[in-house]
Amino acid sequence: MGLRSCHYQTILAEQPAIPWFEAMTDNYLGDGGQPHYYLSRIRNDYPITFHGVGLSLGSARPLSEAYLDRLVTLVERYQPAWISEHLCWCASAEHNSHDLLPLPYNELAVRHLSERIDQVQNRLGRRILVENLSSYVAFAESEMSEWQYVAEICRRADCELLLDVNNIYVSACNQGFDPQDYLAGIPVERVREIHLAGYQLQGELLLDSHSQPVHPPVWQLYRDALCRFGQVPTLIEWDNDIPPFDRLWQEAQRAERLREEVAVDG
Amino acid sequence: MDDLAALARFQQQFLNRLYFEQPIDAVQLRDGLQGGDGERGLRAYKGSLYGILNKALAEIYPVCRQFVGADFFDALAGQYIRCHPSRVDRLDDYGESLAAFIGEFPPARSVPQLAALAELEWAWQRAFHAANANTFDFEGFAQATALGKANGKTLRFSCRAGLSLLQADFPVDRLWQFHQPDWPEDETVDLAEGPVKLVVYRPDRQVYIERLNDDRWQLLQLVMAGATLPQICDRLGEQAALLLPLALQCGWLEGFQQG
Repeated sequence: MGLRSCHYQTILAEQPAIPWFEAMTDNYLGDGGQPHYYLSRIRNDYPITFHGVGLSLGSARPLSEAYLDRLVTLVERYQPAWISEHLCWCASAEHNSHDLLPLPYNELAVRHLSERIDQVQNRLGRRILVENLSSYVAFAESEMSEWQYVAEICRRADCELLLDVNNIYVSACNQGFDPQDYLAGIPVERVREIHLAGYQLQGELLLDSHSQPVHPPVWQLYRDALCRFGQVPTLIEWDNDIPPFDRLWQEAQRAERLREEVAVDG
Repeated sequence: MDDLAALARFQQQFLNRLYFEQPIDAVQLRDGLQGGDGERGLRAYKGSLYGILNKALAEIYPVCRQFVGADFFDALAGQYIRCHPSRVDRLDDYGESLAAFIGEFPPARSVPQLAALAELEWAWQRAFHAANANTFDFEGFAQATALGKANGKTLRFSCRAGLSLLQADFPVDRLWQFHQPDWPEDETVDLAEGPVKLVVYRPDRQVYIERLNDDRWQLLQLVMAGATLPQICDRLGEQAALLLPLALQCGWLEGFQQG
């Protein structure tokens, strides 16, 4: 499950049988105080992974050395099972959006992202996972499908993939492709983790809002993903209008039941 | 233009569009099957960006938001975001200049306490995320100030990380407390109580907001200005012998340097 500060007390008091927690890297880049106090206590009882949004792998500007330094410190301190980031850019030379913005799917982007992932992996001394985005625009400059783009980046950078099934569904609806083609185009051996989340309809666009339960078509696509990629660790993301811990856990347990069903069905 | 320069140009244009509605010509956008020109998608990204930054400001300035109400705060935040697009890597660092912006934001003239409240909340945020304190090295301090060792002539104290001083011409600390969950229902705040001088710091996991008298204020100002131990003693006279131990006991001072 995703670790959120509003659930710290419940987790520490009830010690739920959760296999691991995913902490948002960006919530722990501060120097000290309560965030580290609680993360340290939870790390004593659970494995954790780090999931980042602010590294801006796809930016043209150089990677932030200050951000990387803090990431290295976090990794050394908490020893996460793995570290993930997004296949996106957030910042230009002047401004930062703090959002996950897409690039055209072309050779330039593949090369640039692969080199930057390689740079991060060398700095950390380990492979990282990269996550596919949801997208609300497409670029005429794209030369390949999104799944070809993702697969090629993973191959060149020799990194692993955090496959966000909700993002596939959202982008498929917004861009008009078949999500089954997406799943079929992703190399099985690269997928290390799956994310699920709820989307929101805004006009004719689906938005990756992380503010809802997982929607039925995403559950169906998740089942298809399990059939293709096997028993991949799965995490529910819920970052806005966060419900009580038990409600989030119910959602995680539903994912777990689906994993077990698919395993039994073979 | 090389590839990286082209990428940089596209990214700056994209953000200029989201922040300032400026045109994009570095790439051609579309928004999927409907054959649109990408306008809907750009609006979605703009809404997302403003939503992210608005949420960040609301989390850093929760009392300001309570004080003026969500509608006023959201309008203020929207204007602030347009005028001060983020240039920081970490979202926790965004919004430092909000208090100054409020001071020049005409609709905020009706709430003259708001700028000081924002200044206090920014100080609280700095203290909240500051590095945990190191233990003061009393033994090293004793050695540094021992007779025959120049008596600490070049010794300077350092304040605890994230410690801030601020003053207001009304009891902004009481106004802040008024908006905390543990404020007694039957108590009110007298905004005419007069000016206050405050220190905001975090000695353990909790952030403290404490009032300072003029002597304590002066001591911490001197320390933050880099005054040496003899300079502090000159300025504060006999009070220094009382104030320095107090500052150590309260945890305002974290260490010292020679030279």
